[in-house]
Amino acid sequence: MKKMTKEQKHEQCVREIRGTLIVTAICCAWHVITAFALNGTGLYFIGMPAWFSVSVFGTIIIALLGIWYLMKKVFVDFDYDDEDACERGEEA
Amino acid sequence: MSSQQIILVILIAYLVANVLIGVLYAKKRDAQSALSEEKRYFIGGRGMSGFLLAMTTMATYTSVSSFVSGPGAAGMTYGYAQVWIAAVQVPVTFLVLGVLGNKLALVSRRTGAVTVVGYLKARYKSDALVIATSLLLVSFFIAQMIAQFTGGATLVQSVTGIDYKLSLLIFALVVVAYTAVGGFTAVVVTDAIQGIVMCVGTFLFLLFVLKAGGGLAGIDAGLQANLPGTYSDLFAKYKPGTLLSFWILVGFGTLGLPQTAVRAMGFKNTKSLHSAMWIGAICCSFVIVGMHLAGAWAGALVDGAELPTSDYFIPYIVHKIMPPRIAGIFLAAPMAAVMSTADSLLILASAAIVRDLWKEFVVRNDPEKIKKYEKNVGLASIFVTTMLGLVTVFLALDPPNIIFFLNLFAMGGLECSFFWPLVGGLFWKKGTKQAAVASSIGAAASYVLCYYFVKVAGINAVVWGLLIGGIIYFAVGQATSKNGLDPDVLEKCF
Repeated sequence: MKKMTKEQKHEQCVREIRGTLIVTAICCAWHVITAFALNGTGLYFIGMPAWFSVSVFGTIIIALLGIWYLMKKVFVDFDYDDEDACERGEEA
Repeated sequence: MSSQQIILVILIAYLVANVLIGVLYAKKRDAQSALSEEKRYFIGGRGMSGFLLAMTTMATYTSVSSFVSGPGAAGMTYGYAQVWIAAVQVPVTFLVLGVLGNKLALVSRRTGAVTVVGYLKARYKSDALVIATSLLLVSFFIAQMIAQFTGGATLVQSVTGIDYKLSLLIFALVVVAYTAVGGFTAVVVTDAIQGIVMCVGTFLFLLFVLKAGGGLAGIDAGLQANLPGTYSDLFAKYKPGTLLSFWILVGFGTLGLPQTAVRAMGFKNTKSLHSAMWIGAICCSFVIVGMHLAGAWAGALVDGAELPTSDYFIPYIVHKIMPPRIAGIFLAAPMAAVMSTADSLLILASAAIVRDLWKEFVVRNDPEKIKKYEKNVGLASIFVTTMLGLVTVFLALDPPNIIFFLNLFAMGGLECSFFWPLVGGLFWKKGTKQAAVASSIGAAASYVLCYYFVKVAGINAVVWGLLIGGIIYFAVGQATSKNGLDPDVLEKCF
């Protein structure tokens, strides 16, 4: 569990939000572009219309790969000790 | 025993188990918490593990629409297009937890906030914002609760044959009982049970539909016969603008939903957050896409034209293809989806009235009144939660035709009211109280107006509401931030 200052925690939060939004935007782009492009082609993939199966199952795979990347490279463990102490202090 | 009686016994056992586990676990956990009674009741003492956080976020988000209305609409009318729309929700849990998680966890501890409105109060120091957002929250939550209570009662009615009004009373009694007595901890622990039940139910439904349809080839042939020209065409029933709007309404816009955002104030540490993002993404994808996919495939089994609405489609199919014992276990899943959303809405609406309105505007800083408040907050919360439950039951006696649309309408309203003050306030230092009040009221009003009067290319009103809300938030923030933020806000919120 990493110890961080208040400013470092804020910067870390901003990194995490940026990473999460980029992964979600990639999921969105794949989901929309593949479905719109393949609809009407008459192609089938794993027993269902390809616009549907490529788009939906691809989005799930991209989302899981994205979380794996975020956990490896972007998110870090840090403690909430100062904040917990602040809350308990105010309650006391 | 008849099949209806078997299903009824399983459902009653399930409902009673929820009440008992919820209340007993809440009492045990809350006794161990070092925080005040108010924080234990409304935020569970900030002690949620990763598993509980994932399950409660998913279970709150997956509602009657995910288990009954959406899959029913897929099977009866829209085919694969409805499943495609549902898949927009695949990233929802990790989006909400990844964007709001750590920041809200830190700020809510520094400010002592236990509700989203409480956070807004600490961030903007505006009474007008507290009143506006609390009232908007309670109004839209009641609309969403009507949808959930109606869905729960319709489900009990269609599988047991009991009269709708009695079904409504049974459903309401169970949800109100464990929510009122056990508070947030009971909501979270029952959500976890309900999340597991939903995963099991989805698996069973997929399995039985595939078997009854004769595999994917048989299902495809059945869909060609029952939904010709519709099931395999994305644009047969939906315009491109409508389809894209869903990425705002049930995708990015969910960042503004107070019922999911409040979960980010209740978990233990960053490890809990990270495991919740994994578990939530996997379970949410499986349950939402799995249920809608099975619903669409079930369209191959029967032509549901004789059913009154698509809300009756899933219970009807279940009766047709599952043996009674399995049907009883499966039907606990949609019941779980409905209960887990209804309880979360109920506890938050109660928190808005007790914590955000009563404490802020009646108790204020009077030491005598604070003493009384701290002594009575538990009982007052139970009373308010029960009263809200009764109001919702009364309004749900004459139910709307299609639950799906009422739920989506209220969801859009909540997103417009909260999105910019909540998300903007966490990261933009120029976001002032004037910007937050103007954006919240402006976006909600534009949403309602656009819902009725603006029809452009099938685009949902939530897109206009959020767009107008964003413009107001940034324009007013830029114009009113010349003196900078209050030093206390800068210290605690950034």
